This record gives sequence, structure tokens and C-alpha cells, in this order.
Amino acid sequence: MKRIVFTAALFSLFIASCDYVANPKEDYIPAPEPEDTLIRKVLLEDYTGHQCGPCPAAGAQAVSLKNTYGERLITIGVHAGFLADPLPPNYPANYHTTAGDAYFTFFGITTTPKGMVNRRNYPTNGHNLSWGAWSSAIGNVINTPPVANIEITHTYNTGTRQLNLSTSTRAISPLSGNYYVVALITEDSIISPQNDASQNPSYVPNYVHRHVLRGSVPDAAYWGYQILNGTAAAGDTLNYTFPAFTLPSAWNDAKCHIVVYVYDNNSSSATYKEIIQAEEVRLR
Amino acid sequence: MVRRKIALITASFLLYHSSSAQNNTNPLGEIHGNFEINAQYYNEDTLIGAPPVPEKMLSNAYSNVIYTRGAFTAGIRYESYLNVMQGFDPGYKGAGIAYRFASYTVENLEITVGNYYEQFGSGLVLRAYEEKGLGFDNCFDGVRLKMNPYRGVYLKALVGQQRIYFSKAGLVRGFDGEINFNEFFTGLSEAKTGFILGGSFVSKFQTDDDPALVLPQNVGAWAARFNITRGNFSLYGEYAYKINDPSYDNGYIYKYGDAMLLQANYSKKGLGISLAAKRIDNMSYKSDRDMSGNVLTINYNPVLTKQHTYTTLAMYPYNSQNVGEFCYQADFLYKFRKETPLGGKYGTDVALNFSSAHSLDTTNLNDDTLAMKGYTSDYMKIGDKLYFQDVNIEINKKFSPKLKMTLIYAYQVYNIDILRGKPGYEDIQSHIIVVDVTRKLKDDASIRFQAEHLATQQHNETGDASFAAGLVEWTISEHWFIAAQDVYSYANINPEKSVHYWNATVGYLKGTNRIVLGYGKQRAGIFCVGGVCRYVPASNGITLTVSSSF
Repeated sequence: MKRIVFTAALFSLFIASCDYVANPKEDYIPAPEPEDTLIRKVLLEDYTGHQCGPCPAAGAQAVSLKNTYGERLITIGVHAGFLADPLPPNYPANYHTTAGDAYFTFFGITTTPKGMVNRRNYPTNGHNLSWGAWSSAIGNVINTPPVANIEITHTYNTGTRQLNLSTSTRAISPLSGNYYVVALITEDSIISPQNDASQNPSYVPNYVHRHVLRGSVPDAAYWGYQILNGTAAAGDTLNYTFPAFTLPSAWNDAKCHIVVYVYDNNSSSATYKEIIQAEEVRLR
Repeated sequence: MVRRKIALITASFLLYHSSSAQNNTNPLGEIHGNFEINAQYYNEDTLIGAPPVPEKMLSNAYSNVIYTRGAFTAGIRYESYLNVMQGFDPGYKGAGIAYRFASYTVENLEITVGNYYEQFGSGLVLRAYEEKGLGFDNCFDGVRLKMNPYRGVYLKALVGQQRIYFSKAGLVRGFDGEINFNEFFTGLSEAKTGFILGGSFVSKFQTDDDPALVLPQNVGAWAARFNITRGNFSLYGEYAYKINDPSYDNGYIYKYGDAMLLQANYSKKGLGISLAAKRIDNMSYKSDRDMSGNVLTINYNPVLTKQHTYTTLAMYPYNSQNVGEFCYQADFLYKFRKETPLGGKYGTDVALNFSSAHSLDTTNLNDDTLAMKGYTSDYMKIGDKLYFQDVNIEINKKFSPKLKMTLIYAYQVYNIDILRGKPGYEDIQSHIIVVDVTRKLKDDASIRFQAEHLATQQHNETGDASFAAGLVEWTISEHWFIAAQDVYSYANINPEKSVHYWNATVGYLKGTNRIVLGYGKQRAGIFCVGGVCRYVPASNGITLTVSSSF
């Protein structure tokens, strides 16, 4: 019998405790925004689809995080994958975009809902995040000092729907390598059906789709334009003027935003494809 | 089906070599191994939705090499996915030693270091296994001890990380104990009633780096089980409980999870009856809370539906719902004896099977700003959603020493919204008939004809509705076979997509070597083993399988 007791005691050393959680929410107050206007702005891409039942929960998390971080966090809903396909008569809308489909494939998202925070940790598979991991991923980067600042200058003609856009990226600390700038258009609060697994019935005909990616400027330039191939000293400014772009008539321009981001496009860099800074302004 | 067989052979091979470790007699020890490669050359086929494959040819291969000497066993498995075949998780891309271990037994203690597979009870809180056909492998890498300290007492303890592709992640600790009362108490060794009690505890660790939530870093799960046998009767029951475990799979809620499994069997010559039921509630348990899909899974959800192998019967298979399900199954096997009106000259086997899977009866708490428990569920009620149902009868009849036949009828209901995540479709209700006739030609030659039909009024996400299928397989000799199969989707809502998915294969077998070459089309679908499934994309091309062992 002693042997049994001894063995049980020995084996019980392997047993770890259980962490019961009664109050999941921490009294979390994000660090106050720096008074300096040069702040890091983080891009959260929420890969979603209107046929995807678990996606609204991820969308709600994106909204919650946006409410927490305000203008320091830019969220876009990227409708991609087969669950974003139109399926009339219940899901007739088509929010696929050339840019979104390309990102979905390139970054190996494969299922929805998933997301990327500044596209960090590509390609080690740490970039493709479940929505429960977004909060910590944002927390890891949002309080780090920015290395660049983006200023967006644009004009928009509501009659012709033409957008003229230029960006000025200023290095806050020295930059070295190959950097690209990308401009996207998002449209907020589009109402159309969504499958929502948390509802019964799951079919929600008047779902509000937030910050839907509509496309890049222009459509084929989803990987953007090179603004630096070499080095830039702190304070150097890297300007780019985008080709004139006409918004398709189906987009509600009153609810559109321009999202611009700059990323490292040096394939041998440890931060390949990582977004170093982002900016967002209303279209009109 | 071929892949399942090969996986079973591999598993048997590994088991045989680990169990025979103490029996081999060669003083230098023995080395055994096996090998398999599956390769496919892909053609683009827009009609069936087979995408272009940039590499043109993809392959999955592996080889086990195991050394045994006395009580010592060590082995490796080399795997290569260059590049990963379509339908398997692309994360496997690459090649390397995916599994290596060393194990020895001294007295009553077995020690294993490196990789190992393990199962506690029916697996409700822990099961590590591999299934090559699914691309599933959640083996541990760490240390495992097995001990038999006293007659009838069996203990296991383990600590390890879990395999993810060619890497490892997580941290799992586990302990399992079992007592066989008939062995433990000498006075019960001759008792008519056998009684075994068992219990497990498993804990996983993952850091909490979420600034806004308190995530449990140590998530424990325990289970208790019993097994009673008496004569032809046996009864098995297991209950498992898991503490709060917010995860991607459960929508990051803090509700506990639990599972109940009950199985009763009765068998005697010519008769077998099996009844089983289970209730699974929030039991997805992974080493990484943020992972989705078939990776880093710690536990297993035993499947309670019949595992079909015929094409049309397996077209809409049930995949277990770890987030919540209520399932039950009844099996009835009967053999009409020889020389009776229904038994005829050789006897007739009849198998009746009924299985049904339903949602749980849940009430949303809408407490996502407070305790975040998500929902409550009623133990006494079954939910209103039917996930799956299968009623089938199988008759096996031998007419003469050279002629035998299998006849199957099944009625299946498949909830395409839940089981494939594709909303907006009606449940597929199908009537399926299979006739399989084998005629022996010589001692080592036979010919098999198979005809199948699946009739349904509903269509799936690719527009397919009813199917007809046929197979002819000619075993020419013990070394050669050829086969041709056609699966015809003749009622697609888009007439252009009413396609013949035909396949032709030729196989050569000699000793333990087996080479099978095929050409044809594969329709998109779901392939499941034991309730775990993967999506199989459409493909068109040449397939090659080579397997061997020594």
C-alpha cells in the first residue's frame, strides 16, 4: 500500500492547479495618448464574410478595441474567403475586393474570422490571429514609439467622385530598406444580411457591417508604391502622389474613409510586410 | 478508404513493435520500418472547380524506423510534404524528423522520452493520436511514465508539448489512474462481474498577455469512468469536466465544459446489441486557446455514428461538434443461421444502425460585459436543431463459395449549415442504396461490382443533388488489380455541372510492397475519420501511392 501512496504522491507532482476566473474583465485603462501628435497608429484587419457565423463576434471585438484605443487603432473589415461569396437570395452582396482577396491568399488566412495586427510576425504564422488574440497583439505594439508619421492630403469632387490623394511620410527615426505606401478606401456601416451564430435564428437581415474594405487606390495597386529604397534620416520626408481615382457609384462616399499605411517590403528583413505606421481620414 | 486502411496498418505496426519490445530474441536487437508516399499530378479543371497548382505535382510521404532490443525501444518518423497535397493543412509544408522517441521498461515502470501518443479513458480529456488520412497528429513531445505499482492498479503521468506541423507548442500535464477490482482483490478474481474504475486529470498552461481580460493560464479538466462486465453484457460510462477555458472555438466565453458518455453492449453468438449516448457541452480543449482547426487538440470526442466507407454513404459524414451536441446510437447485429428460411445455405448477416445528433438546449446569457459565461444549457432537454441522422440496414449474404453480396439501404439527414458552416441551404435528406457483389474467379482472382445511388431533393453548396456511382474491381492475381469507378452527379442545379467523376486505378502488390497508380477526377467533399474531418478540394490528375515495410 505504501508503494501506491508513494507513487500517487509522486505522480501528483505533475498535476497543476486550475485558474478559475470569476471576473474576466480587467480594470484596463490604456496608457494615455502621448501629448506629442506623433503617435503610433495600428492597423487591425478583420477578415470576415457574411456567411460566416462566428464572424460577428470577431467584428464586435474589433469595435470594442476601437472604442478602447480611439484614433490610435484603425480597423478594416476585409471580406474574403468562400464565406464572403455572394449566395442569393439570402446573401446577395459581394464585398470581395481585389486587394482583400490578394491579402487573404498571400497571408494564408484560409479561414474566417481571423485578423492581422500590423501584419506582424509574418511569415512565421504568428501573423494570422484568432480574434481573442487581437487585444494582446495590439497591446504589444500600440505603446511603442512610432518610427514614421503619415500625413494625408486629398481632394474629393462629389460630382465627378474623383479623388486626388498624396501622402507625406516623415521618418521619425532613421529608416533603412525598402518601404511602400498603400492607400485603401473603406466604407462604414453598410447594412446587409449576415449569418450570426450567436443569434437564433442566425440569419440577421439588417446587420451593420463596419469599416468594410472597398478597394485600394487604384484597384490594382494593393501592394502600393515604393517610397524608399535605401536610407532616410530622421526628419526626411517621403512623398507620394497617387493616380487620380474615381469612386465607383455603388460606394456611399459619405461613409467612406481613406486608410493609408506604410510597410516594410524587404523580403530578407525580419519585419517583412510589417506595417510601420497607418493613418485614416474621412473622404469628405 | 485506402488511406484509412494504411493508417490502421501503420498504427498496428507501431503497436506491434512497441508491444513486442520485450519478446524479440535477437541479442543485437531488431530494426523494422515502413514507408509510404502519396503523390498527385494536378490538372486544372474549371468545370469541377479544381484549381491550378503551381507546383503541378505535390506529395506527402513518411517513413517509420524502429529499433527494439529487449525492454528498450527507440524510433523515428521522417515526414515530407513537398509540397503539401491539396486538402491537407498547408502548415505541414517541409520535411524533417517529426517523431522520435526512446522507451524502456524496468520492473513495473515504463519510461518514454521524446514523442508519444496517449489516451486516457475514451479520450474525453486527453487523446493524442495520428491519422495520416486527415493530416492529423497531436502527439506529445516530453516525458511519460507508466506504472503498475500493485496488482490491478495502472498509473500514467505525462508532461509535454504538442506537435504543430514541424514545431511544437503548448504545455500539457496529465495523470491517469485505473483500478481493476477483480485483479486488485484476490477474492474477486473469479467473480462473474468485472468492475474497473478510472480517473484522469489534465491541465494545460498558456500565458495571459491580454491587457483587457483575465485569461486562465492553467486550465484543468478531469474525468471519471467505470466499466462493468457481466457475462455477455458490458456497460461503460465516463463523465468529464473542464473549467473555464475561453477560446477561439467557444467564442472566448468563460463557461465550464462537460461531457457524458454512456455505452452498453450485449453480445452472444449471432447477436450483438449496442446502445450509446453522449452529451458534449463546450469541450473544445486545445493547447493554444487561439487555435482553430485540427491542430493542438488535447482531447477527443468519440463519434457515435456509423463510419461508412462506400462513396455515397460517406458523402455527407457527421463531424463531431465539440462546442455542443447530444448524440445517440443503436446498433443491432443478427445472424440468421444456416439452413433456416432466411439464412439459406451459408447464413445471412443483418446489421441495423440508427444514429442521431442534435444541438443542446441553450439559453444565451448576453453577459459579455460581465461574467462572460455565454450561455446555460439544460441537461434534461435536447435542442431543436437536428445536426445529423442516419438509419441504415446492411445485409451480407453468401450465395455460394464463389458469390457473395452486400446490400445497404440508408436514410440520412445532414445539416449543411452546422456541419459545413454554409448557411442558407436546406438539410440534405438522402435515400441511399448500395449493392456490392463479389464473384471469386480463382483462388487469387475475383471480380467485384458495386452500384450505388443517392437520391435527394436538396442540393449542396456546389449545386449537387442526387448521385449515381458504379465500381468494377478486378483482382487479376495476388499481385495485380485494376479498378474503374464513376461517380455521377446527374442532378446538379446547374446542368453544365452534372459531371462524371471517373477514376481508374491499377495496383501491384508483392510482399509488403504496394504500388497503386490512378487517374481521374475527385469531387470536392468532406473526408472524416472518427468524427474529425477535413475538406477535400476537387482535383483532376494522376495519383501514385507506394507503400512498403520491412
